[in-house]
Amino acid sequence: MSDKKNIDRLFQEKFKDFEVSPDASVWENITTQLSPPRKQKKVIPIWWKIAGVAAGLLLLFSIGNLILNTNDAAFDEIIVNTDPEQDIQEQSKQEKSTPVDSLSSQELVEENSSETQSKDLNSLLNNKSKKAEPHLSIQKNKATSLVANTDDNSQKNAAKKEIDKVLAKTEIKTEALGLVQDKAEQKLIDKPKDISTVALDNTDQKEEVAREAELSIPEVIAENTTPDADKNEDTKTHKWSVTPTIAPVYFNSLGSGSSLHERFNSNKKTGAVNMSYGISASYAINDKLSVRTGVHNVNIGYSTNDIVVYNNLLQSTANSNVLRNIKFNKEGQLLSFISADEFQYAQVPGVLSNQIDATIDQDLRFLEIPVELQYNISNKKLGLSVVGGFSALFLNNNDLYSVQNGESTLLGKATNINNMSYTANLGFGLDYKISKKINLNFEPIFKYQLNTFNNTSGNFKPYFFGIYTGFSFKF
Amino acid sequence: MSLDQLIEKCKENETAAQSDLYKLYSGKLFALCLKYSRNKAEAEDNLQDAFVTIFNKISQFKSKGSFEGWLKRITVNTALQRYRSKGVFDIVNEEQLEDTYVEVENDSIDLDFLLASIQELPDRYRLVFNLYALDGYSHKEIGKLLGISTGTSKSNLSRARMILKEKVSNYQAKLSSQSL
Repeated sequence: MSDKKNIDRLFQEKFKDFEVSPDASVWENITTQLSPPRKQKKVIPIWWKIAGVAAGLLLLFSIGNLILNTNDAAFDEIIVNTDPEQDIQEQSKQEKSTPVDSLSSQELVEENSSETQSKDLNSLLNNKSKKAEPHLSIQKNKATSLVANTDDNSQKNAAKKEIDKVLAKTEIKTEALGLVQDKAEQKLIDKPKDISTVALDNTDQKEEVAREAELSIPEVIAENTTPDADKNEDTKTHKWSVTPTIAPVYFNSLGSGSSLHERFNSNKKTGAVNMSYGISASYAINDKLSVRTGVHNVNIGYSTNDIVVYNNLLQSTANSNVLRNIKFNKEGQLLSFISADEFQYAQVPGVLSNQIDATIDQDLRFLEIPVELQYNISNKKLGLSVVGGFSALFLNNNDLYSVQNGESTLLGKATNINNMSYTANLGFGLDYKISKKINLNFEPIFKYQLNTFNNTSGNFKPYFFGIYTGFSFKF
Repeated sequence: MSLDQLIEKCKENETAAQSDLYKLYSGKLFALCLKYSRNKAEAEDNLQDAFVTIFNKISQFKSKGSFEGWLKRITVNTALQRYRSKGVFDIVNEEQLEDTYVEVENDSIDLDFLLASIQELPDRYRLVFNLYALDGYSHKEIGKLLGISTGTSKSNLSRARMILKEKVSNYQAKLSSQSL
């Protein structure tokens, strides 16, 4: 039977229930394509971030531990420097040159027999009998101060022996202190000359006490009565500090240009939030001003959105679409990119939306070496400061990806990024003083990139902004 | 399991559900790919790309429209993407030809022949004919999809019909001469 038909109808009718089963290999290819890109793209960055935070914390605690454990030694040295050197030297010489301790002690006591000094001694002794422990610590300080001073005079051997002696004595003294104290007091007041008759330990103690009285009574009293004195000394001498920092870093451009191609100038750019971590060292020039530097690893990235990506069939069409700032790898060479704007995005029906939401993602990693000045506006418990300076950026890694439908393809590298570039930095810092030596810092800093990209188009003004957080340890 | 449940499981990336969905729709979608492609190998590539897109984007499917329609749109788009690199389409004569009628013997025409005829069409004619005649897109939509004017789309359609008509006529002539 013959029938006259519109050709469209002929095909429509024939293809109405047209179904063909594809080869099994197609499904296999689909499954291999489905799982790996997701894992690679989404899981690894999270692990990297967690690992980064963990490493930062580890670094922080280990450095903190190190510094806290060495605090005592540093503290002693500080006191040494403020001691009157001369007197101690004389003292150590006297001790060495007199074979019989009791003799020297007699001499000393005689020298110190003026009323005022014996009063001082009394007060000192009273003080000590009340506070046996502080006394001990002072003794120890004196002992170490002896080491330092005699060292200066290249009498190391002698000094070491003396210190052994003094330490031995102080040990005995602490035991004997309570028992002997009352007697000693009495004798000092009533019969200063009879001191030599007291037991050896006792005379040693007196010698020690007398020496202290002669040397540094004002100082000891000062230490005992004005605890604030310590603080002043601390703040003056803590010129250095070390700060491991970790910061979320947001990258974007101030203008509307593109670092890739002028056809993407008006495309929407989305900055990525990455992590920066590193360590910085700071030196306080004075109370207000400090200079600092360090090393930071900084990742920045951003996406150029609304891009149409398509496969090239012919090499000739590929060439016409090559972006001049990208060195494509093999896979990237097969793709072409145009802005959705060129494609009249607004009028395109929804069916196309799965093709024009591709992005080109740029991932950059730098080693950053900042040189910054920090000016303290407020030095209270919660301090405020202004930070300004420059950073040198050394390019470490440079990748471009095309991301479409959740899949990312490595395209190649950007060719317009300088291996070394600079940023101008400006920000402010908040620091909370947890203790004399530890601060918690919080510093939002804006870094304007001066010459990171060459050959950009439009008004591309890249910057990154980080909130640098870390504990700083002073020493 | 209902279709909605299957879609939900696919959104959770369950491999078994993805496999079921594939079994359910691969036949129809592969047929679609065959019509839009030059040959079987290209159609398989398209189907593969389309399913990868489908599974990656299924979380974006909001149960508003028809799921099958959504699958077909993705598949068609994947097929078109292959040819979009020729972005600036060649300029062609935009004259319109009259509607083409052809005399056919009922059931005498083999489906494989029709498919081959479509696949042998020049790329643009094939795409326009498929979109307009078989999948119900308007010339305006086709124009936007392919980046051509509606006039060009109409002209391409006419030329595709001409070619197909000629092929079908020749085929029938051959058949009748054989049967005689």
